[in-house]
Amino acid sequence: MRVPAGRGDDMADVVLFSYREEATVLHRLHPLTKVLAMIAFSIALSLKSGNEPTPLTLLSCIPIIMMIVVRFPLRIYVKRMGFFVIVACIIGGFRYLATQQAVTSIMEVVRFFDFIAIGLLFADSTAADDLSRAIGTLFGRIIGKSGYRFAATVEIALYSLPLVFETVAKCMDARKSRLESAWKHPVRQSISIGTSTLWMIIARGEQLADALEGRLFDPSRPRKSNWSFTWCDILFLLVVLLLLAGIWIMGTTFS
Amino acid sequence: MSYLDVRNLSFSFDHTQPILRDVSLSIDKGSLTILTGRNGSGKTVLLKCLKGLYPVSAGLIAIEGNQFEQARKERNRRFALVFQEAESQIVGQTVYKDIEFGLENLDIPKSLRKDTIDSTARLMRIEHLLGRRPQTLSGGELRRLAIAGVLAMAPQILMLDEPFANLDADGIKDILQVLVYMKAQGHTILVVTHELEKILAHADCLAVMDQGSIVIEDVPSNAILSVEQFGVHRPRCSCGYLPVEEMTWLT
Repeated sequence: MRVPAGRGDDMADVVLFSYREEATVLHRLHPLTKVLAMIAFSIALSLKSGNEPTPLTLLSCIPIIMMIVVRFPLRIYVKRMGFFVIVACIIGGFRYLATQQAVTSIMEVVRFFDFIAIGLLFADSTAADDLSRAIGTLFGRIIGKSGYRFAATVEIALYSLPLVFETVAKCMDARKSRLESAWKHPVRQSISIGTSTLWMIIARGEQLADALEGRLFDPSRPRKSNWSFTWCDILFLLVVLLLLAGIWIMGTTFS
Repeated sequence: MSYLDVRNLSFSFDHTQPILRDVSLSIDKGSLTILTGRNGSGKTVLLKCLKGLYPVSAGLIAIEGNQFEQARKERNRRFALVFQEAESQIVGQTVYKDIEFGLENLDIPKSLRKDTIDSTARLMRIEHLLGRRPQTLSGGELRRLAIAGVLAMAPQILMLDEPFANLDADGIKDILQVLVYMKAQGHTILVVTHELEKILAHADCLAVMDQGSIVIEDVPSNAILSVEQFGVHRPRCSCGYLPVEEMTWLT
């Protein structure tokens, strides 16, 4: 049963890589369609042809358009993306040091944000539970119980991802509230944050394990998917694949 | 014979330093038992042992005469535990899906789940929240959802760890009303709390833990007389100690 989002969802503190219950085109697609599209997009981004500025710009337009289509709350997410900005700076900086080319380092940063954007879009539009059931139904037919166990592992991993970011945010807030300066002893601070975050994540993981065990969760139990492939899925995949193929051809022509 | 009988239960994490030592406790059917004690006295560990989340080293756990100390899975099914951090217990994307989670794990057919979910949500007064995401709920609503999630699985004994922690006055009254109503419906409830002044008037038994053992187990009016020597705050009023029958936040 699909349950519509109720009032009060606007009040939610947005956590990175968390799912929003919405009724957009992307939300209505079969989870496996989105997995395939995401894999295709990632391959296109990783190909050598994607190293040219024009194909990369076109590729970057895809997640941007998708974000507009699904009314992705980017403004709220941006506040939580400090970590990715730091990683992007490190990537861009090292790339520049290696190549001495500003364009190449900017492209590396853009490519990194493309990966993040597509991950955010996927997590935003796909419930871990739905994905797990879809994967379980597919793999369960092929490899039996192991397929369902694999699907449950994917679900728990997806479920844990927002927990990690939530824990990091809590840890940072706790330190900020005790007036820790962001720039005093940055190395010591990073190690300290990393350590305390790790402990918090382990504690949360233990709580999650207890919660799942306490409610008789069995990862190898078959769980049926309510999803079925529709013409929309086929159409969406075709459009994405054609777009990516077009960009790849353009990229190879340029190079 | 008691409904739940715990005899000489012991538990340790490393087989050297016992966390629980010869814990014995009896709970009657349809009763509300309060378990209190200092921080670190082993209350939460006892709940997790009863639930089957931790294996017991020695002792006996019996429900209606049937022993379950070696059957962790069976204990897990018969005991329900609401954690102190309610949000850590909630795994569904929506309130509806969270209540459904346990029912699905019990292999209850989808067609039968809706009625159970609706009736449990009504009991917990969260029927208007079924479509909401748990992240958008208040502390009291989250706690009620956590209770609903385990209650839908029809456990024999409901255990709550610090159900009033981090709640405002309205949230506490909501939870208290739910507990009193559930007791009236015949549920057997074990509550771990330090806040005796909020609930003790409704309890049938007060047990106190100290250093991993149950040191007091009696009717509240008797047990309250000696709780202070075990580090438990005995509620006071302007005229001295608060009478047990006034230890409630429900008026």
